[in-house]
Amino acid sequence: MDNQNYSNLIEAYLNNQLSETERLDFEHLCMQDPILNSELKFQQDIIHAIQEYRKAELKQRLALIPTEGLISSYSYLKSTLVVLGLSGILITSGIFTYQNFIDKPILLNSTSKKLSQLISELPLPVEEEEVIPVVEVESNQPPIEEIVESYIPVQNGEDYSSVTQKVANVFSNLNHHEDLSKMGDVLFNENLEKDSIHPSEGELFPSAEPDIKYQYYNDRLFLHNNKSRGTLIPFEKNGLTRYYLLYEEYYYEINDNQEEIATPKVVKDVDVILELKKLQELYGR
Amino acid sequence: MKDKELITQIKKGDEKALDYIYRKNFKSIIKMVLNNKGTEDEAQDIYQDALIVLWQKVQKDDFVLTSKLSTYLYAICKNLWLKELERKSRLVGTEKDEVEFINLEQKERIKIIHDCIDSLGDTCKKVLTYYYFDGMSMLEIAKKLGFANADTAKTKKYKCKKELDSLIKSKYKATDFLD
Repeated sequence: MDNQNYSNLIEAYLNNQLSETERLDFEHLCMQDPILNSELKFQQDIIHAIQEYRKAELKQRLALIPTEGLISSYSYLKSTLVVLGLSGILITSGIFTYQNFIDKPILLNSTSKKLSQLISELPLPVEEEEVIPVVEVESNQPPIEEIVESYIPVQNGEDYSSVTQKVANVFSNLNHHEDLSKMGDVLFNENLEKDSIHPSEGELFPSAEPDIKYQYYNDRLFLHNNKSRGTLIPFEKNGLTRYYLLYEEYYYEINDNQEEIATPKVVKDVDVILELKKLQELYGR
Repeated sequence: MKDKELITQIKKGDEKALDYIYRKNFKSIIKMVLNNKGTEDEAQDIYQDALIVLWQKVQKDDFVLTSKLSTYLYAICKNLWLKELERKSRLVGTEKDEVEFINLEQKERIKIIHDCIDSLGDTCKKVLTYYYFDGMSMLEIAKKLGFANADTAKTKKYKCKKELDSLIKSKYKATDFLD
């Protein structure tokens, strides 16, 4: 074979244009012929370098795009910190309400109002993207409910007792200890049926697909066809935060960038369910 | 601009479409990385890499967009970031010196080749990078660079590649890289 044929063959090999047999034949040939082999490595290097060159060029182009105004680091950081701080309060209030549902009707009071005010005053980053209209709702359907995000600050390997301590700290920072058990309206609806959120014994996940649908975008979860409110649980595992929805005693996995309406995936992994239940129990007490 | 238009523009090799997508999805992607233990620099780096992956994928003939472009881009970023997190956790405890040493020789070779690419004419640079990285067909390259037809592009690519090969070979000999 002459040089031209060789270089055509090398090129075809590197571009994945050879059939399975041709590929194996060529690799066999390379093993026997050190000159062909070193030419293959040489060409591999060149193509790799050309690709890196173009990649760097495109990357440089993107890096030069002005991003000021697309996101303000400072305001974002600030709001994140405030959200983190307040979410601790939110989750605890939610749990108290949960207990409250079972025992006695919810009362509105000044503490919860203050909390709502605080939440509405959070400095959120300025939205620049087009607003995506939330799906139209027919009159006989229940309204779409937006779920208040609840953050459970559990890190990998963290002892649950330390989380309890965190919760306790959040409590002691509040001046309204005695009113905490009444801070119900933040997370839950008043007119909920008691049974609808009371976990039944036995089954860990529903046998049928759920009736509810959801959307999740701009860090917000929207439920459709829901009869009661759910709780969103961000759960960190292996460095990645996954989102779960607790709705009518079952857990569902939420895709955190779901712009189209979708059916939430039922969590069937017993380990995950147990971990989520553990968190729920911890906060339920 | 709609997703379909953007895809068509990318298929044509229009880099402005990439700029547009970059600006439009910047916030949500950066937030995702920041929320998952990343810094702003890492977030931007991953985001740029993701757009380049998108660029290459869209150029492929069999590319079909089955979701919204933003959803697709978000998924690429998430995968890249997950890989980066795994890579970072693996790095803890490995012999860094050894890894560095192996990479150094290849880095050196790539630098020589990059210098050679730099010394090529502008058209040659474009033909080679569009062909080997963007995965454009000869016809697409001909259209983008204003050649008469695909055959002209093919001849041009062949000549440019030859020129680059001999440039690199002369440099390699000088630095004694070939065994």
